[in-house]
Amino acid sequence: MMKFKGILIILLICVFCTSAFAAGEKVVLKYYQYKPEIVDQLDKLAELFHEQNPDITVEVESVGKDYITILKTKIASDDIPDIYAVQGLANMQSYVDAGILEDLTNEPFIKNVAEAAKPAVTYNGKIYALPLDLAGLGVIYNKGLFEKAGISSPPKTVSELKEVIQKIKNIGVIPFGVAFKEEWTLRHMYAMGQAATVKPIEFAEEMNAGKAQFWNDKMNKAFETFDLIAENCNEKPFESDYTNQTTMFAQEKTAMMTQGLWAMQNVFNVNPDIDAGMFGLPVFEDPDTARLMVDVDYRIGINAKSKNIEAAKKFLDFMTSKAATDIWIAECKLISSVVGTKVDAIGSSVALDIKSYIDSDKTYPWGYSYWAPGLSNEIGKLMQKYYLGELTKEQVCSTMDDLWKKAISK
Amino acid sequence: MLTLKLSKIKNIVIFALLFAFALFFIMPVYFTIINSFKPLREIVTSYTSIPKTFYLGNYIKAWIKTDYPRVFLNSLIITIASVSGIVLVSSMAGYILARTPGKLSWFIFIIIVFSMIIPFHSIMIPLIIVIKKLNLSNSIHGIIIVYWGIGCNFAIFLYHGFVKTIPKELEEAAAIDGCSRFQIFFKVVFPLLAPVTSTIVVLDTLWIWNDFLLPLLVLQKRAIKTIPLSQYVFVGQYYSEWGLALAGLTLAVIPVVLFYVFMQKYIVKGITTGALKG
Amino acid sequence: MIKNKTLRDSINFSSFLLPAFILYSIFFLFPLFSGVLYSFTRWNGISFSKEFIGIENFKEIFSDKRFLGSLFFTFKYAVLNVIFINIFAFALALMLDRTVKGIGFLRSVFFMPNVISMVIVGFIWQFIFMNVVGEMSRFMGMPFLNQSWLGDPHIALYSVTLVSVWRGTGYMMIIYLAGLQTINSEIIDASRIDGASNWGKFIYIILPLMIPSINICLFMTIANSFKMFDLVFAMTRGGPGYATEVISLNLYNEAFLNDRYGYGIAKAVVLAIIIMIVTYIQLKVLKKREVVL
Repeated sequence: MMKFKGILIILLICVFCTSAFAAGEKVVLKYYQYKPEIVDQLDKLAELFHEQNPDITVEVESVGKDYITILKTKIASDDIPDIYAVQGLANMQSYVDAGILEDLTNEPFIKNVAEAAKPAVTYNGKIYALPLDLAGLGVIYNKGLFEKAGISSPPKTVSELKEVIQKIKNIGVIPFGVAFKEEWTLRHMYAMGQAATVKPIEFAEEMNAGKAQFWNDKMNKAFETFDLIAENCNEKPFESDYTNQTTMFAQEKTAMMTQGLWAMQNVFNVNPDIDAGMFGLPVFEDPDTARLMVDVDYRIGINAKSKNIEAAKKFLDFMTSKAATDIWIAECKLISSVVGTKVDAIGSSVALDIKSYIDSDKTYPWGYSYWAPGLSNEIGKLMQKYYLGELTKEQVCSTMDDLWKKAISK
Repeated sequence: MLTLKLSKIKNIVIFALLFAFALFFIMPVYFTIINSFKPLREIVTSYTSIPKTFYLGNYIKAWIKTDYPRVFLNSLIITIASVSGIVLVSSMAGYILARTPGKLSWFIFIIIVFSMIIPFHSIMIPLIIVIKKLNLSNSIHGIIIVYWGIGCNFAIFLYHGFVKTIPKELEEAAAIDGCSRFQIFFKVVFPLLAPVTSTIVVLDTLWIWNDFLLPLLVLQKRAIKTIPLSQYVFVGQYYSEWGLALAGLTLAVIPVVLFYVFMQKYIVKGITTGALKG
Repeated sequence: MIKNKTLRDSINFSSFLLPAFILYSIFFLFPLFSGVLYSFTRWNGISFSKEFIGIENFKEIFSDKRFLGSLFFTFKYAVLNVIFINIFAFALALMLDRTVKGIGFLRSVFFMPNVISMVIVGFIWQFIFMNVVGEMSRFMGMPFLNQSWLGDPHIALYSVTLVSVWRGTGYMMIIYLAGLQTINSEIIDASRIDGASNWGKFIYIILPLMIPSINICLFMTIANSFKMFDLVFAMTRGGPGYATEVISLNLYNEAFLNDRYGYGIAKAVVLAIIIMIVTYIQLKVLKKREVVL
């Protein structure tokens, strides 16, 4: 009996040693993110990376709508993933202040990133995350319907927009499809309007110094466009959600919608043959102000407290390589923020339109990314109230001013 | 067992009412199922029509994408182990609290019961910290123990109430026969609590099987995810695949429905046996 | 065998109670108290500094118009929800308390909604309100059905309550059924021999004996109504505007989206106190009428 016990103990020690030894060799990186629709592609990328770096394994875990809650809970319980997706610049700033994002400014792979993508990951002059995509926001329109209605090119001024609306109505189609139920679509729309009126970084600085406010004459003009959209949209706008908006567009019941490139995924599911493009939302009579909002939507950072920072950096470097960006563009169907990439593989003329705006430098950053924390969640709800008639446009803006003051006084 | 005997006319009226009510209750389920058999294109053309063909694509894709057999097994293990534990510790606690008079007993009962009014979000972050410190996170046995802890309040509440409807004479008779408290409980009282136990088993099974937030926080590894977590792949920030989602959720719901239909008989059985003995 | 009965009683008391109580303390009471401690801080949920600010958070709550709006909405919802769920559940339990063929099937039908998780219930009903009802109103020629059920702030309260009642009734029905079935049939038979009418039986025998069940169901529906989160989160997210923002959603937004965890938890504490007061009143009133065999 004792002999048996002895052998057992020796065996256990051996097993323990080998496993500990093996564990010491291999590194497992936890990568946590919020886009469930690209999970398969991320797995593929992780596989590819593992082939090139056999001693590093990347485990991708995703969650959809509750990402921020879960991530914050993990942070609070000291269970921070090695690599995680950072949603929004305001959040990135909080994470940097809390010391959980590694400074990447001098990493070699940052050189691969396009200049246009850098502001969205910069804080206090340093870069803390790797941007992976460039998302375009604007007015997606149905090229076929536009042709049918006799519209030769997309509108660049407000008066042209009014003409377009009338021509669309003449062929019996609803001009705008909206999703007022989902406050984020209103946030995007508001930001599109505001983008033409102020420069976001300076605006944020002035707001912090108490020198600026949301309401001004230019914003007043922007609200005209907001009214135009609401007056010419589908029925029951508050009932309409994102799926409904994209479906109606796909079924050609509506001709335009203020959305981002990602919306085309839903649209193609319903109608793969649709011919669509994107143009900038006109807010003034100056055609140069009708630009697309192009900015980083998806960025990943490294936990500064991770035990595997070097391995994580290797993975980020890999993500900027040609092999990775090829998969990113062709399969995730997103525009890459890496220099020198093309968008043709996405197979959508919307992406081509976005690229041409980028190339001709006619873009705005996503203004709301630079707002004080919490504000971007509120604007959508305030716009809902505006459309319901509960708030005037001045009140919407003054509420935002108050919220900003409250947020920065913490 | 009929508690009220009614005239034939009243019975017919009642059944008509029940039928109308039942239709209303089933209506959403009906629409979910018929739409799950349509490809997305057909769903958006008409939401109320019967599917043109019996399209199984949604179900196949949902089965694969959610890794159904594995998540089913996980949900099964977690649910069975958690519910068993809850029934065991709660019946004992509820019994002794109901049978022990005095301030201490009452105070403990109130503490346990008052927690039922606390929303989960209030304890969420500290709870996760506790779980992590005890090394229970990201494991199946970990989440089971947590369910024992947070599930016993409601069960104790129910057991406490129903123990009071069991006449003390039965226990006193057993005590005279020389039984210890344990024996009295397990041989005499617990069988009589069958209706409550069945109720708790059903309700807690449904709660734990469908629970979403706690598993979301505790179970990260894909291999140990439960069914509700796997459903989430169909609803992202900018993305919703309705056909798949409806098929996926039907798959998720079928086991529970079957479970309930099966348990249904036992609730009736347990009650009639209890009534005969009483 | 009555050797030191009190000692034996104490041992029994502890051994029966401790497993549950220890588990409960570790996983519920302790997190609860640490949570409450956070309500006295200015913690944002991420950084490591937790600045103690006393009762500042609580003072702020009273001037928080949006929170007070949530409170009012939640109250309205709770009243409707509690009344309808309990009436329907009790009525259904009475009607289904028989052993005819197919009763199991009928009971399952009414319980079915409760079998589905809240998130999915919200999803299905959104689908119904947005798409199906509109189509149905055209088919059946009932234009009244074609409302903006979830988009109109005045109607949304009733839509949310409707779904909540649809979902919650089955749950309470089971509890009422169990309660009805512990009523000894001999008492009922005895009363019939005494010549009691159906209505008389109901008021004087069934109702009083059902008070424990009514107590339990009222307590749970009140608490659940105030705590309600998942349904609104899935169907309206509190919109349009803040029209359907229940308290739980308000505190969730505060804690996780506005990065004001300390303040959010303070609201949770206030919510808990409110529920405590309401249910305390309810339990006290009904305890007097409890009949113990």
